[in-house]
Parts: sequence; C-alpha cells; structure tokens
Amino acid sequence: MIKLKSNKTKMGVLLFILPALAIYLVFQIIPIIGSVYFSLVSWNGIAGSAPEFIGLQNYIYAFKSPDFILSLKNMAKMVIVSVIFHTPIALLMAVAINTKCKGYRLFKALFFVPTVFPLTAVGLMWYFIFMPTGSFNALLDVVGLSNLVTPWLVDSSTAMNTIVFVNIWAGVGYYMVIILAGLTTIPEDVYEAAAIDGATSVKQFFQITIPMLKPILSMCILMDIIGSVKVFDLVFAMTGGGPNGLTNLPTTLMYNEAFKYNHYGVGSAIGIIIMLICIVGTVGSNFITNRKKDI
Amino acid sequence: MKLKKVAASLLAGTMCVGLLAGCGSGGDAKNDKDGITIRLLTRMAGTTTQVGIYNDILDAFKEKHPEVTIIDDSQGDESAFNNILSTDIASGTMANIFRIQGVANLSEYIDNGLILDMSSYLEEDSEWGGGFTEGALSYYQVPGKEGIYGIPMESGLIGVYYNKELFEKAGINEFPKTWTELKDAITKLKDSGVIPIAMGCQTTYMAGHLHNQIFYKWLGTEAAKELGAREKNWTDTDVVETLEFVKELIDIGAFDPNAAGMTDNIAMTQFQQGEAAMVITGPWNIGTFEDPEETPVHESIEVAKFPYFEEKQEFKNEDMQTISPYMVSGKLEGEELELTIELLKMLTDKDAAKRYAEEAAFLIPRTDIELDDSKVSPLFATNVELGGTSEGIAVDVFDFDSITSMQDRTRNSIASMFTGAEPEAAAKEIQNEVDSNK
Repeated sequence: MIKLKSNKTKMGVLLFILPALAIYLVFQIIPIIGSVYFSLVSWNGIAGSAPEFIGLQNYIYAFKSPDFILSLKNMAKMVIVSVIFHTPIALLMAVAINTKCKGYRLFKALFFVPTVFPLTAVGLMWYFIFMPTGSFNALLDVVGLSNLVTPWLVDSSTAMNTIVFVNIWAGVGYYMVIILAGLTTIPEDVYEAAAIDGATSVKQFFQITIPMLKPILSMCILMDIIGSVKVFDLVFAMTGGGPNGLTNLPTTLMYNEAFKYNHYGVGSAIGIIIMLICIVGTVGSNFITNRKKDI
Repeated sequence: MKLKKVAASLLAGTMCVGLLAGCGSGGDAKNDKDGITIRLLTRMAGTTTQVGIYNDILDAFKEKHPEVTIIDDSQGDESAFNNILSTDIASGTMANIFRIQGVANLSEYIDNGLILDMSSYLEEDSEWGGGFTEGALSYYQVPGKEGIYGIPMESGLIGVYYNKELFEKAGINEFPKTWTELKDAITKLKDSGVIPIAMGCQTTYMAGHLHNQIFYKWLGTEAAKELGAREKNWTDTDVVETLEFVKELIDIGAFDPNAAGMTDNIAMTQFQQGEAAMVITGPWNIGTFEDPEETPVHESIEVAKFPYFEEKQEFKNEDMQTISPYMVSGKLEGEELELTIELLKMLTDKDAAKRYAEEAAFLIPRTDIELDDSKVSPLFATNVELGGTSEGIAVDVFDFDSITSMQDRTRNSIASMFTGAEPEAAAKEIQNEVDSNK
C-alpha cells in the first residue's frame, strides 16, 4: 500500500477521487438507497401522493407472481447457457486468432463487430431474421427444409432459446478480445520449452494456455454472469417480453411494473432482487475461483 | 514537477465544478426569469400531414410571442411517450400541454392537482368552447368530479378499411353487414388467395382492437364500464363469448398464419400492398391509405363499420371510436397559464379543425367546421358520416379500468389466442390480474 506523506499530497489525491466519487454517489448509491425505500412502500407514481409503508409486501407480491417466476427461470437459462458458451467459444476464437494465421486481423475485426453495435440494433436485426416471414425461415425454405420453418420468436419452445442464442452471438467477440489480451501476456518461451519437451499443441493448450489464463477466464465468467442478469435491450427490441410475457426477464418486468403500470414499489423490489442476484453471482463466482486457487 | 501538480489540481477542480454545474442546470424548465417556457408532450411527432399542421400552429404562436420558448417533447412512439409521461407524473413536473389516454385514472391525477379543469375557459370563450361536440366533451367529465378535464383534439370511428377490388375478385359485391356475412366473406377471401384480415399480434394493440369491436357489438359499450366498475367479470359467460368470437375468426383462417409474430407495420404493409383484404384501424391512417406511393391500391380502399351480430341488433351502432385530448397542467398560473390556454385554443379552434380535416383527414370533434367538400377525401367523409351514426362510443375496453396493467394484460391474453390459448384460459388470465390487484 502506498503511504501518503503530506496533507498536500492527500488533498491532491482526494481532488482526483472526488469527481468519480461524486458521480458514483449521485448515480449509483443514492438511487440504490431510493430503490430500497421504494421497494418497501406502496406508491401510485403520482407526485404529491404519500407513499404508504407496507414492509415486504412488494417482495411477496413479486415472488407470488407467475410472471416473475417465469422471468427468473428465463434469466437462469440466459445466465447458464451464456456462461457455458460465451467463454469457451471466445477462448477458441482467441487462440485461433493468436496463431496469427493468414487474415487474422480481418477475423479479429469481424468477430468483434457485433460488440460494437448497440444491443437494440442487434435485437432488431435478429428480429428481422427470425420473424415468421424472416430471412432464416426463407433460407430453410430455399434449401428444402420447409418442415423446420418455425415462428422462432413466437413458439413457446423456441422463443427464449432464440434470444439466448442472439445474446451469445452478440457477446462472444467482447470476451474474445479480453482473452486475446490475456494470451499476449503468456511468455513465448514457456511454449518453446514445452515444445522441446515434446508437448503437442493440444497438450500446450490444456497444460499452459488454460492454467495461465485462469484469472482472465474467471473474470470473463464473472462479467458474463452479471451481464446476462442485466440484459434488457435485446429482449425489449426482439420480443418486448412477449408473446404474453413468455420471454420476460426480471429487467423487462421491472421496467413494465415501474414505468408502464406505475407500480413503483413492485418495480423497485424487482430491481433490488436483481441487484442481490448480481451480488450473489459475484461473491459465489469469486468463492469458487479462490477455492480452486487454494487447491 | 510543481507546475504539473498545479495543472493536475486545476484540471481535477475544473471537472468537479463542471460536474456540479451540470447537476445544477437540470430540471428547471424556465430559460430565464423573464421568459416563459411552454412545454408540450403529445403524440404529434413524425412526418405526417397532421404533424405538419401542428408544427405550423406552433410556429404561428412563436411568431406572435417571440419572447416565449416552446419545447415540444411530443413522441410518436407510444412507449417513449409513456416513459416521459410517467416521469412527469412521478416528479410533478407536468408539461404545460399533455395528454393522458383513458379516463379511469384521471380522478387520482385531478386529486393531486395535475390536470386543470377547463370548464371555465370553455364557458368564457363561447366561440371556441361552444364548438366542441357534446359527446366528446362529456368523455372528459370525470365521475365524482365537477368540471371538464380534457379538450378533445382527435376523434373518429375505428372501423374496417377494406379493399373493394379484392372483395369483388372473391365474389363479394357488398361489405358484410352481419357477423355471419363476415365469416362467409372471410372464407371466400381466403379461397381467393388473399389474407382476409391484416393482423400483427406482436404489436398487441391490433388484437386488442379486434376484440374491442366484437365486445361492443356483442355486449355494448356500457359493458366495458361495468367491467371497470367490477360489476362484471372477465370470466362471465357473455364476456368469454366475445373472446370465443376472436378464436372463431382465427380458426376459420381470417388472419395470416404468421400473424402472432408480425408487427403492425408488416400487417399494414400487407393491406397497403393489396395482399390483405381488410384491416381494423382508425382515421389516423386515412392519409396513408390515400397516398398512391405508400398505398398502391389506394383507389380500391373503402371504410365500413365492423359487422354486427344478428341476435344483438340493439348494439348495431355501439362503436369503437378514438378520442384523444389535450390536457393542461394544473400547476400553471399567471401569464404562463394564459399563454398556454391561448396556444391550446390555436391548436383546437375551428380554423385548425378545418385545416386538419381538409388537409390531413384528421378530425377534431367540433360542430362548427365548414368543410369544403371538394377538399375533403372520400374516405374521411365516409368515416365522419359513419361516426355520426354511433349511439354508444368507447375507446378500448380497458380504458374504464383503473388497473394500469390492464392494457397489457388484456392485449397480451387476447394475442395469446393467436398462439393456441383457449378463450377460457385468456379470460381467466385477465380476471386473475383484476383479482390480484384487489
């Protein structure tokens, strides 16, 4: 830890911290405190009308609501499938690009492009691909697979899976770039030594690359968990939570309750539940990673 | 080194000042102490002719009062509009002129002083106030409250726009007047290879509007008020029957098999391109239907009322109509209030109504408009004529319900029948929403 010698230096440091701290307080901490307060009251969303303290009623209402339970299931699916696919695919893509094969710069840019687009635009683009009269069904028709034509975003067995797929597509480039940066930190001589000892490429990948990338991979998984819990725009653009609430996530439900139905209490309660899930995900993921380190 | 430290400290200090200044500048609607700012939050946004006229009126007001600043926050998109309105209501910073759709919740807003009672202004200026149709003004007389809380700025029949040529090709010479005739026409249209009714359920209002039409023809507009007052339940046999009629249309193939996953834009395009024979919509689309570029089949389009049920002749003229208001913030006073009322009058007086009707086929419900028949489009004229025969008027069934989530609940459940849900299940789902909010 750096020890600050003089008050002058301390003041200088404080001055640098102040802008970020002020932004953090105003836009993060105060709204969180506000949300906790609103989650414990019943308020009709009209300025001037007094909020009524109702304890944990909003939380009980949320957990009794079949829509919220369905949204939690959807979220679990989104998080689990994203974690299973995002990092492994990103790792393979990063390793492939790191070989500096022909055209690797082009592939790097292509893989990263979906990350640059706003998720709303990505959602709209995939909506047009997966809509009943969209290009994917047209393609299936052309190649003679008409029996597979499905209203992907409407059918209850495919709607959520389709959104999860798009989330993986849209995020994989982001994790690839992070892993790629991690790969460059592995010294080349480690691989050379392994090669002299007769290790094959596959063995090098499992015995050198993965172990040395562990901190980066853990961070990717952690960011993936938090990112998947917070997905909103993709669902909003692709299905709006429909059909009939089938693809709602807690985030879209929170928006609907608070801004569409003026149920600020229930909306805030859902917001707090999302925050708690993120905290549990973060702590849980750190715990698992640290335990493995100890082993 | 010292210079660097000083520069860095100054930079950090500047950032703090900038941040605080940024925080301080938000939230105040007034530009300066002397000037007055009038903020509008309406749905008049986009590139349509009616929006052009609306903007012309705002420009005329600006010219007359150059010292007044006009901020127009109007949004064409319903969800964007609702977000701003919700924030305004929650913070109590209402726009000077705004609109709230539906009447069930007005009472709460009035109690909190958000909406101004317009009755004294309507009485004061009889030339302006006396011109509105009584039915439209009475829509904004809220039960239990004295006064009139909205100035009607749009009305008109939500009817069935149909492609006469496609009907004739299918062997139908006259638009069906009854439910049986409608089902017969749907079968013939389907057999002729066209989509009988354009429908895009992803934008759930289309399914909701279809059900509204059936509901009013089967049970009348008063039944919607009874549902809102909890004198009736969604699971009552006669209400479930209205949902069964929707299912019946789905089962006989009245809609595109992909309707469940399509948006309203796609469905409207099907109608405008001559792929679909009918669409249920309001007068706001007349301009589009008469534009040869947007609607190649514009010459074949006509409008009619939704067919009635033979056994329910008494509800033949119970119709779905659109009624939208301008409302004035109850927080205004002094010169700002006077100028806001002046602008409101300019937006809804008989000159504006004449322009809107003749140029944009957009109807402000006034009785004193002297229309030039040669300038009024035939579709608009028919819509006005049909609307004039309405004996009972209502907008959406949920408009009389005080539960704010009923718009989504009813529309989602009705749309779910397009993906296989049974009418009883849809009715139960809607009733559950009512019960869980008790």
